[in-house]
Amino acid sequence: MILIDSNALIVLLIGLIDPKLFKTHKTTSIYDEEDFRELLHVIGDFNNIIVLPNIWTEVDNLLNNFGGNYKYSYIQKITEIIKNTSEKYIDSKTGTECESFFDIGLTDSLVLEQAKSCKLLITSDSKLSDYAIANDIKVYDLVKVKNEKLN
Amino acid sequence: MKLKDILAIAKNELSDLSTIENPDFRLEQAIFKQDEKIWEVVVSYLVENTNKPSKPFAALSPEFPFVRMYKKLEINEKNEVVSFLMYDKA
Repeated sequence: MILIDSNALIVLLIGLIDPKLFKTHKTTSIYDEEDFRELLHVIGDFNNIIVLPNIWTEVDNLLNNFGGNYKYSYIQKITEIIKNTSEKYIDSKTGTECESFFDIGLTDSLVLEQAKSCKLLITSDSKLSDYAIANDIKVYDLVKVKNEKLN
Repeated sequence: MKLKDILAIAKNELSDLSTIENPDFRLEQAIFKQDEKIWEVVVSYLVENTNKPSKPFAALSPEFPFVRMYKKLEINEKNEVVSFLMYDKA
């Protein structure tokens, strides 16, 4: 299974809604349609994706304020992805017991914990990526991939 | 201005802030503020971790040799860095 974090999931959702929106959101401002297509290629099938409920909450809190036509499209796309992906609950107590909790907080600690049993972690959070690599977790890091193109 | 140029300007501005061989400078965000004609940019880079956890916290936090820093810059249309700010990723 492939685990995906909040910012990467936001890139996926915005790409599905309209890639032109990347430039209007701070968290997706460096990405373009090509990055989105590459992300889709890495994912392959949405059935491969596993998402923590904490991540869905973060994503919906950030994106549920879409206005106009985009609101309907957002609701359609997030509903479709939730239906086609798996969800894994890990209790918060487990997160507080992780040594990373002090530095990266509850959600990212739970992501790291779950990623240990996944074949890949997809993230666009450089700090989380640093931690994952230090824990021998295989990472597709969207920020790294993008910056390699810019260098 | 292209993202490639923004990254180059930011790297040039921040290169003295890290002493490690590969600071892994990254462009994290870049928004053009139309009203002010300014690019608001967030970059990250690695520095040596000189502030390792003290004993009471040692069991709570891993001791990595490097730590990632985030900074916010504002760049005007003349490619000048006009502000350099702390940035809290959270």
